[in-house]
Amino acid sequence: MKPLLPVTHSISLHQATIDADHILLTLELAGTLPVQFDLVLSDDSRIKVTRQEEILSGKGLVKRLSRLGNLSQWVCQGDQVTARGIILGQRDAVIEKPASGNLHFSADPFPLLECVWKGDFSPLESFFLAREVSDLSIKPGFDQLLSFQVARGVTIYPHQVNTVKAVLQKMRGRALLCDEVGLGKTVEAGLLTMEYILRGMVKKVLILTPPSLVHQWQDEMSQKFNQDFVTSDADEFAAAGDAAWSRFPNIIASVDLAKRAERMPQVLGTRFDLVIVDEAHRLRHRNTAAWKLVNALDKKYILLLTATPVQNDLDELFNLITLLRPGQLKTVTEFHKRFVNQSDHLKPRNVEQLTFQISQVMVRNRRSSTGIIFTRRQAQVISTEMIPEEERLYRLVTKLVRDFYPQNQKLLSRLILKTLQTEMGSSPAAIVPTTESLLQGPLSSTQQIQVQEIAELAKTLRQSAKLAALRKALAALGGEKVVLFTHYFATLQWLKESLNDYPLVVYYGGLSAREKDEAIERFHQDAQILLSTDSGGEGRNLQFCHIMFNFDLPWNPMRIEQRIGRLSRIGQQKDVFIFNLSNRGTVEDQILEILDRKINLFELVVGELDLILGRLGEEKDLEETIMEMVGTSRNDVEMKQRLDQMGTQMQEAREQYEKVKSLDDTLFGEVTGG
Amino acid sequence: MAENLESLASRFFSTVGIVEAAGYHSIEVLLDEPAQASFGGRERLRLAFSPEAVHEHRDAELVTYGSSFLDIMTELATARGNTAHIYLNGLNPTIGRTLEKVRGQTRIPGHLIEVGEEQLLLFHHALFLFKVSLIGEEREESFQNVMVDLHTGWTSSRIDEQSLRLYTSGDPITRKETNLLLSLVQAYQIAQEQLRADMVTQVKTHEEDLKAACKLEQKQVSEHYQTLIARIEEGKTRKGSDPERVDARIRATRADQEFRLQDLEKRYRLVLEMNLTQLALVSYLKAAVPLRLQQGKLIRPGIAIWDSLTRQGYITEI
Repeated sequence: MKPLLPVTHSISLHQATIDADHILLTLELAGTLPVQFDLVLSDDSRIKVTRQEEILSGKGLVKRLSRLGNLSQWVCQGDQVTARGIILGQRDAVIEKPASGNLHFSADPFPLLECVWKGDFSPLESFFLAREVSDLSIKPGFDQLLSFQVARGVTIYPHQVNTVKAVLQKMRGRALLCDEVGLGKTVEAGLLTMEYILRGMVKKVLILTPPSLVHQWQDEMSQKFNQDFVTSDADEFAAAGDAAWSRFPNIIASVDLAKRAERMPQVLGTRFDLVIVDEAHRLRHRNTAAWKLVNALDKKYILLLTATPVQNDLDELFNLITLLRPGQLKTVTEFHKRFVNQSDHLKPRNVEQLTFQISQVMVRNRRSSTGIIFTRRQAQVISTEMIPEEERLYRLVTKLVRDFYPQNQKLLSRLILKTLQTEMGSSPAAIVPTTESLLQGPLSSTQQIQVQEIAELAKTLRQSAKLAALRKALAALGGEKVVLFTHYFATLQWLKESLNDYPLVVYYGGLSAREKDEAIERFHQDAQILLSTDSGGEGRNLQFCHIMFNFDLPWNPMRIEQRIGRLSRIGQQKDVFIFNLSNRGTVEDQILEILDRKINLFELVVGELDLILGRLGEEKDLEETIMEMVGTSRNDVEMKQRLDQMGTQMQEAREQYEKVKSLDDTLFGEVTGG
Repeated sequence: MAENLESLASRFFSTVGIVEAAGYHSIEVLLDEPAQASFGGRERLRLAFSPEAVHEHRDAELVTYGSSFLDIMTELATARGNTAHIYLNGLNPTIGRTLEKVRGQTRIPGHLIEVGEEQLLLFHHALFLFKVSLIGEEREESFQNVMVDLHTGWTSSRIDEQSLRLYTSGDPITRKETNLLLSLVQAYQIAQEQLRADMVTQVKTHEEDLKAACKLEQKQVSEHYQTLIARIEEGKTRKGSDPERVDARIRATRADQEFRLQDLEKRYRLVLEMNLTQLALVSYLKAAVPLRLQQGKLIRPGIAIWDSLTRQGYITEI
């Protein structure tokens, strides 16, 4: 490339007009008459003005300047203008794009080139600021994960980071996540989803779960990852009809619903960027509608989540992996030949080879190898005898429930009766707002009398056996920090007043984010008791405390587990002590009996409960089932019998789960992925 | 990092409106009229920089890395600052040892018969900023720059943009200049070619990895389906089987196989997109020494140039 001579020739500019096709110049040197040149633009970009005489006489200048091409900008210094400038080049020039199949220069450069050509520059600060802002919107490669910045209230552990990177980079978004229970598979799936969403690689997500987990997933995705999902049981989803599957970008559906024949065409006719299947061991048989559905889904990425991929037969593993990568384990026949012991279908052969094959698509982290300390949990029931007024109130509420629950009336609906029953299990104070609101609405005269009696007694009752027991226990603990849980805000307020001689902070959903931060900080610093509702403290770091009291017991064991999970989580250094306060002879007393004795809930690993309850195969919510028993039993004896029966089923489910867990541990140990 | 985002967003929005702190990790912005169009005509924005802050202000827009809001903000910022004329008046190159420094980097073509006086000359450059997106099984974006000397066509990649900022005070440099050789279109084409060359190696390695992975998966899929088809075909020989039905199943299985193979092809395709996002004219002084060079019977003038910004020396014919 030949450069030009480093010579600048200047002449005085009398007038210059530049438009798209012409440059009208009026130039002069001192003492001479202005000379006007009308230049038609051409594509030659060179000019060589070597002698001032030429300019002076105009001799040859037109010719020379006309060779300039699209002369656009004159660099002016005072009244001097250099006889050259920035040249745009041909406007209609076809800019050659370097030819390569997968390299594209996609933006049209001319708007920017023209700005510079015209001297239409942005302020320097704006230019540099734009550059800084642009850096923020850059999506880096998967080495640098983005999801951690958007996850809310989630502590992310090294095994999760490794899993996310392995799935993104080595498994290319098609993976079986089989971490042991309690290591955060859901968080891993959420982080993976966010990595894709944040990079614009996933715009449509389908999460398939058992019916009981649909709303839990919706909550987790909303609270932890700020992603709104519509559930397939939502009114808006139903209202959209057949178009719903393609219309909503993020859907959570139960597998049972999606696999229904009438739904299949819509589900299969939709392209999903990412499909997540929770409790994926339900897809272990390839002849089931669920397996066929997931296999046939039009999907780019797929994550299968299960802590127990194999339950009865190694074929189940083959079936799950075939959903991810058909052919990864060759064919069934070959899989059997190479990897399955013919006399025992649960015993693998060529274990090393099999582990290698499955490590291409599967990650299984074990608690023992994460390096995370998991402390034990110890639960104790503090059983109390209700004081006479309390007992009377309890009986009145139970009577009201049994009188009206079977009738399922509009005025005193089942939902209200269930609320009253569970509030009674919490404290008399919890009942007050509900009864007051009931009394303001229409009730039958019998109902009015019964509710009135309950309301009056509840309002006057300031003593409680559980409160007395709590005070005693707190005294015995000395100054140890405790988290005191209650389900109801009214109970929280009453406890706050009743325990005003203790350094206590309250924590509930209605506090602002800043107030919540401050409450936790105060609890960390100098308060002894954190009095919290269930809805208050998801994801907050409470591991510095290792004692909790359940002042009341939610009927839904998952809620109990969530409470325990606040303290008994990764990062907890001490054994966690759980004190459950319970009035003898109440519904809660019997639920506690089942959860504590039959399935040992309080000492389970977080996450195991899901698997046990999942085995019950209940379509109905557990809370609803219990309420049904409470509301339709004629007396306490019948109710106890029915609850016992449920307890036995739960016990069996736990035993089955233990067997499968032990089998999977033996089969897989740890698979780190890739 | 969220703190950076918050402070940068506040800084940016204060250039397009009025910013007020609105509580826990959130700000409120009153936008100038021209900026409103980028935000759907809205005059006010409430922005939150943490999920907790959104929880508190339900009407707030969450601004996080990767959020679409950030893309809109970037678009607006870029539109407002897409070009600049940057004079590097703080660079202060010195005269002395220019030829020596240039010689340390490049061989002089021919016999040097005359060396002129060292001087500082003003050079203009076009600095092209490209957003490069590598789109395949993952999406990786980066900014790459290429600077083209408009006098010589000499290119430099990966200019440290921070140093440009450090060396400029905004005031123009008035100095003797060399003549320009290139038009902006030519410079763009050179930059484009340079960037392509820079990226090609990176893409090639990546592409080869992907091709190998794709081939392996396609082989697995083909084998899997061949076995399936063979098994279905066995059904033909079974007593009472309906050959038409069997054929239909085979056709469906083949179609499924084809779909999966094509899907794999799509998933493993790698595309590199390069978009020009900003362009600056960068002007600064370089030390230059006029030369006369003899190659055989030919005597040609040349110039040795030392670039203090890129720390590069070169000799060019004139």
